[in-house]
Amino acid sequence: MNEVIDQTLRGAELVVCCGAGGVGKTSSAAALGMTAASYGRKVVVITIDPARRLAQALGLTALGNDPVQVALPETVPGSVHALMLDPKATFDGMVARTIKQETLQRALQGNHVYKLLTNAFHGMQEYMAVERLFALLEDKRFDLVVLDTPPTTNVLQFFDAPERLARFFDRRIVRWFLPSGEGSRLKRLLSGQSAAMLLIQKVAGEDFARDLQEFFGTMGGLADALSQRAAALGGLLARNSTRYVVVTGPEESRIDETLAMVELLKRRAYRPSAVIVNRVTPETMAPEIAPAAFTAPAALLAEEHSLFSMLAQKLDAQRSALLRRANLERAQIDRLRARLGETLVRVVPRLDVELDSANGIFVLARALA
Amino acid sequence: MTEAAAATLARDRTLNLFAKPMTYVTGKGGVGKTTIAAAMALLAADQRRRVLVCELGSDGHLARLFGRTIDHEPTSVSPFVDAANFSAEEGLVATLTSVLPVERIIRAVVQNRVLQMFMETAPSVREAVLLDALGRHFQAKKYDNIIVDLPASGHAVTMLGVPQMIMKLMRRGPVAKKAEALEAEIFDPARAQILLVALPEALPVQETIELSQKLVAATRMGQVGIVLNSSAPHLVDKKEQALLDKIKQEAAQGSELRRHALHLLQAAERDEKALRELAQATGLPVFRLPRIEDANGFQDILGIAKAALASYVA
Repeated sequence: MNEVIDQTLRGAELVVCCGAGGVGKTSSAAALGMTAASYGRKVVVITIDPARRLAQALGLTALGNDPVQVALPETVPGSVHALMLDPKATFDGMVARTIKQETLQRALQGNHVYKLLTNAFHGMQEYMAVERLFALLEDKRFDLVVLDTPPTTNVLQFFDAPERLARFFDRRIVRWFLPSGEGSRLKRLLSGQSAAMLLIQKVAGEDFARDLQEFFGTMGGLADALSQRAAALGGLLARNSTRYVVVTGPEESRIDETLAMVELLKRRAYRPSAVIVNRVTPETMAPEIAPAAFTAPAALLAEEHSLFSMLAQKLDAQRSALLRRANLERAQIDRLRARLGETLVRVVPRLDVELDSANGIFVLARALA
Repeated sequence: MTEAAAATLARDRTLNLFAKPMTYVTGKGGVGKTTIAAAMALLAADQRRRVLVCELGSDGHLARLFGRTIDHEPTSVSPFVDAANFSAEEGLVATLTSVLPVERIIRAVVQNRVLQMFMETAPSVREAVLLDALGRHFQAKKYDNIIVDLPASGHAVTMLGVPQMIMKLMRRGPVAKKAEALEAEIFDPARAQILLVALPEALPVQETIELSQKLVAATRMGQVGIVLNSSAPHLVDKKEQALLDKIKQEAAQGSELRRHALHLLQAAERDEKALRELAQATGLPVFRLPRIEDANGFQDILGIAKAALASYVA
């Protein structure tokens, strides 16, 4: 196995894949899973909002929190399961565990604020991924979890999601919106929370104010559970068996983004164990040879020769452009290596397969390892 | 439809980019949305239009592209072109001012740590503030065109749905009214349009088709077309394709000629497939922007993208 990939997978229990959108993060996460499986690991890959065809390639047809087995060649000793995170179902499940009374649960389902929170909370997907993560790490069917993080604008948003959600349910916020049972009516009128509710009634409407009160009244107890999760995640992310992989491309802007991302990770004391530079022009890795002119194959007919000379010009233009591109990419990869060290960077060439089948991803896995 | 026919189809149609004063650019992550948005802005400036190109709270794609800091307040990046990256933190006071009745209350809200925390974490507050900042610049009519570099697919659909969601949630009161006015202003189909960006690969094409359909359901704004970014830089016609096929058969295995012929053929086939699938599934005109193989630096990329876009624009 390639050394960079080997050091990433050996002894790993959790592999967190980070990267900007469009670099092949999800397919790389799946390929890493397959690589691990070919070394006998029992892997589960958590994906979030993958492209439909990629989901199909992994045998996933619908959102669901139950892992589905991915079809692999029989020679592979391990196994890969995958699941497409369903944030709403995960959240409902968590609420059901925390709030035991059925009447309260039913009231929540009709509550507009609750609906909004499950659909639009900034970081809800990220948080729910964390919830699933803990469940799967406990699952005896698997010995390695590969997590494909959602394409956030900032990688830290993912790690901060539980804390953020916990802050939303902070006691001070909850108390603000709750009808206070204590004190005289006059005292309540003069107190802050009353003024806040009046203000919300005024600007956001009475219905909303009622929904908000009901929501915080029911969900207020979630704060403790969420804070515990946030703390547990902090511990999990700092474990030695948790590995970080940054997926990127060879373009200047990608390398810039990657270096910035690695810095952010390091600030949290998370050190990436691999940076995968994906879809590199194959010429980048070939030795430079002065190109010779294209000559027509002997089998061409006489009348095809003039067309060939025109085509040869296009082929030549294509080749020179590719070689120039290869030079630029090589310079970018060198820059990355100079900053991060040789032992971190794994370069994967652009493959001539579409990643819309399990076989396509298996080809990527072989190139990776 | 053959690739050549599809290319002709795209050439016949001109991309009417600047007829509407607001254009939202979106697509799958990593397809080059920001580059297209910035190139559009430079092209508009060439036509002597005053233009604002902006992002909604991104981590600074435009700044990287223009090689300078770009903040909440629009700043000139090129003659006739201003750029901004709206920030929810900086826009909050202005947005509160438009819904809260009294300045004293606004100050109290902004200075209160608990309410601040609530604002920072509450769902959609951030998106609403960013859209409101956009709305203010649109209303000020300082620019002939505003080009918005939206987030990637799913996030873009969520973002465009925020005013409607607020209306549903609050039903009455000043905030709901405000959301309704904002929606009528910045998502007005008569004045605003969407431009999609895609790549000629299976997964991005599929995601673009799904995105286009979701946008039809989520907004009344029309889609002006799809830019197929990173398409094959060299077009080959039918005859050339036939000859390339022959070279594939006749040239020695592993020879450079065969390898490059295959490459040329594959690029053409990928394009043709992408053009056909996108056009058939969405009914939108597709405009190919050739892959920039060897641009040196961001200025170069922008210049090439602008020139390519210019060939389609009336």
